[in-house]
Amino acid sequence: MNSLAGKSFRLGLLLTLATGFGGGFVEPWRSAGQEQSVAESSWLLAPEIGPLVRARRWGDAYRLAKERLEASPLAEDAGAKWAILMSMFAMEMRGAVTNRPPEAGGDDAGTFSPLEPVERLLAAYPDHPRAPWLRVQRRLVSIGLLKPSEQIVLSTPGDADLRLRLLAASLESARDLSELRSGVTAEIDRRRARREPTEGMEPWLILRDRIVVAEAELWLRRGDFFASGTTDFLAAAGRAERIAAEGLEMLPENHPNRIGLVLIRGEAWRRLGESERAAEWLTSTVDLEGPVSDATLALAIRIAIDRERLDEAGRLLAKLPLPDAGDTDETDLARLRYLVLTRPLPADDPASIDRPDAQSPPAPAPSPSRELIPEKRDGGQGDSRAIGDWIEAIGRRGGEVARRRAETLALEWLGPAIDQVTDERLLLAEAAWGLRAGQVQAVAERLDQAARESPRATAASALGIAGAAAWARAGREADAAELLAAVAGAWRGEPGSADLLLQAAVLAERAGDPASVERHLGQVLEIGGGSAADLRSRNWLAARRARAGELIEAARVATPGDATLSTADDRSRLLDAWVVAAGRWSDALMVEPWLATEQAYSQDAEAALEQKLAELVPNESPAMRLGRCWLLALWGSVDRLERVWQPSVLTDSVPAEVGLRWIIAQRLGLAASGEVEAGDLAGLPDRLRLAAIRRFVSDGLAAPERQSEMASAIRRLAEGLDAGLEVGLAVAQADVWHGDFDGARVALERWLAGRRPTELPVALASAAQLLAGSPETAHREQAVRYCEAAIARERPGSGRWHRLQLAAIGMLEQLGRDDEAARRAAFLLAAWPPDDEVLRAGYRRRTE
Amino acid sequence: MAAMIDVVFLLLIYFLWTTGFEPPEYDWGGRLTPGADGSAAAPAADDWTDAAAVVERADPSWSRLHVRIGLDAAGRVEIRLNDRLLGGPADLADRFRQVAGLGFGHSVVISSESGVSLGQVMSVHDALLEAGGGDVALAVEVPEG
Repeated sequence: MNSLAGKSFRLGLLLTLATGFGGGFVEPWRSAGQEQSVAESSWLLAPEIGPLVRARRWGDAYRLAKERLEASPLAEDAGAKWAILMSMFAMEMRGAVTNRPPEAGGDDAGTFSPLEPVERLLAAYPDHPRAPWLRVQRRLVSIGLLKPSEQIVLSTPGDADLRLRLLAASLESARDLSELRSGVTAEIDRRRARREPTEGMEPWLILRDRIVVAEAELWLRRGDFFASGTTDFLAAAGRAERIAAEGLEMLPENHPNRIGLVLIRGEAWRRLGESERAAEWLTSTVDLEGPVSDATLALAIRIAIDRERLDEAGRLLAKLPLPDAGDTDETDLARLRYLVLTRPLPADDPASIDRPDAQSPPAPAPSPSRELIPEKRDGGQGDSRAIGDWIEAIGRRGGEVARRRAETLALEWLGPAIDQVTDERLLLAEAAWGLRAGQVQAVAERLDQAARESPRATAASALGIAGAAAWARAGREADAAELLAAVAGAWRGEPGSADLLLQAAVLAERAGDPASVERHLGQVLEIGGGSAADLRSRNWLAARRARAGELIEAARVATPGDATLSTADDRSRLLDAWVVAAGRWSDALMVEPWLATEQAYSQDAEAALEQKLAELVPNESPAMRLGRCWLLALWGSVDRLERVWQPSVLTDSVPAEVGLRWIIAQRLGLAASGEVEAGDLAGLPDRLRLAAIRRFVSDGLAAPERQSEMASAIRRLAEGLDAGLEVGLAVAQADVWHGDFDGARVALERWLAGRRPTELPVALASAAQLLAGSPETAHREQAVRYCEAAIARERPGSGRWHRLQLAAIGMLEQLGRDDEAARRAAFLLAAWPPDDEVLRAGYRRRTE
Repeated sequence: MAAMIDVVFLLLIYFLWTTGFEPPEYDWGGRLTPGADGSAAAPAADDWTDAAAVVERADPSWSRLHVRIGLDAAGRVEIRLNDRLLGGPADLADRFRQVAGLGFGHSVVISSESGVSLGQVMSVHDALLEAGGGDVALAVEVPEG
């Protein structure tokens, strides 16, 4: 139950204060959706803020009230008036009373406390002539400030501690309001005894009315904390009814403040199980056939539902304004209850099956409008999905707390019937409830079953993801992965099935099941299509292959397959994937090429890359030409780049493309180094700089006559880059190509010192290869030592180990230690005979 | 006569005191080594990153050889040298004769799988020694405790 009459009362009060209307009698329910007017003391009226209040410009109204307060004598009525108004406007700014998000643009909303103005005045003037008004305002603000917390507790019943604290605060407020009412009543009695004139009495009477309404409403709200029908719930409703009755007795007929109490009394009777009496009460006091407020309509609908008059409830619901039109929290929940009660039986639910082989049209998008009122069909049954749609609509309008509150109420109203509901949103809400209650295992099992049985792909996916999360929370990642894979398998080809499989792989990884990881990733690759999941899976699988030392296979896996390129995002994603794939190919080529026996393999790999480029990046559009240019510039051979390169493809407006133009110019020998300013390279991302450095190294190795140029280009690009594994090596390579072996040796020693243990085999082998080319014996001996260290860190008998052995033997020969080289080759051939005939031939050649 | 008996006893005691008892394994030219496996495995990644130390500590692991004796499905002896299956004892001896003269100071660890008899192990061991097997050791399981 929401604040029922409170909100209308409060807004009506503000309008009354602002417009200067006081003590008049108007039809408070004159038009639905409009705030009712209420009576207020003449001393509180402030017509000058009327336009601001009507426009709900609470920030401006607050500032105006503040100015007036500062200019007013604080000890007099004016001081109290502006302090109270400031407090009211601050409450509006916080959105605390209405549960709406704080006013847009209300930058002061969180800065000023609504309590501050009244508390300061009370502290400074404890005997202020308007102290009772100030105290009442202070209490009303305190109650209002607790509302958001109350909403949270009501939407998340698991927080027992907060619930108890709010109940205690509610009791304290009730006690305070009761004392305030006693004090005000005593004052009224005193004044009556003194036979004071009516004008002097009126403000006190109005204040008492305000207290009574607040008190009655507070007791109703207190009942919300207890389950319907419990002793506490009934006691709270009974108390609210008594207070409302007392208040109504004190107010003359047609007094505008009566309507709030009328609604409270009707609601209280409804809660006490006296729906018939509530209906009679409401129809005798309000003309429901005429225009009525939303709060009145909502109560009438609730009563009709309690009386099992669903037709009447439906008719009343049809009178409600569109839900997006204003504050309709109460009517939202009334409509929700109606939808719950009119849900169809599962057998009647067409369930809008959308399995791939079904031809049924897709379900219409939910619309937060009166169209959500279920059509009468199948004997008055409505659409079961309408409940979920309506909760979604409530969430869109009122935020997360409102949505959860609606879910909580829907589940409560559904009771055991939740087992018959197939709407995934309600099932997920039930699961969230169970998780908050700590029933992780049961929730996981329920969602698991629901996901596997769901007749719709989107529902199965949502339930599967939630079920997997529950399994994971229960520490059963393997079950979570299995569920996702099962759902993806059942809906293979549906959008999102690849995402489910990727997530299954993540969970399998967490469960320590590498075989399942590989299987799920492989399944994603089979689906392919260039989706984000496809490309991420390729990346992951490639990284796994690379970690296992299978660099060529890693590159092969990383290479994207056919892709749908319907949007710019698709293209961008594919280009990114190509950059990654090409990087993998580059890795594969980088590590091996200096070993003679790998040359053939490397050439195959490069040929495969270029063939793939030709297949997958055709010259179909400028964007594709750009992508092709980009890839060829960094990973294609110089020959191919020369054939394909079209300067017009690149623009000068994109920094990365300016950098790319420079790289191409270097590779093709079109521009002398330095033609492009260093600043122009700043737009080249580090990853691409690294790729370009790799490319220059490859080009230098392939064309010794251009090594000096490549060395300059490498040094240029390496400026400012972190000296990682490849950059440091490339810079040393550049030193070597410039003939500076001493510099290269020093750089290598420093670079090797910073390597991780896992990087050392490659780092040592690369360092050995660089120094082996030095004309100085000392450098070449150091190269042998590096090579021996690399050998010692490889698995004996492996292919890499044998290639390093051959390299070491070659270095010994270069040092003139031919005999030692031959003996070592003979030893290895006899004691560690490799399986690979190429390697065996390498040894045999050295023994001859 | 009594004096002669005394002399004989004294001599007997002398020899008993001065004779050493050596364990039987000292009778053969090899030795025992714990850590039976000795298979060719990648060195464990350690946490030191001092490249100079890495280079200094580089150990020529390729001169440490491992002979593993097992049985095939028919119960015949199988010999593997550094995880590579050989033709038989003659092949093994031939390979060791080749490496013996190369001057790398190699060492050999012989290990056996379950079911292989001590006699089969010792025949391989003896063949290795005969072929100039170098520093030969038999891998044994060290009882816990």
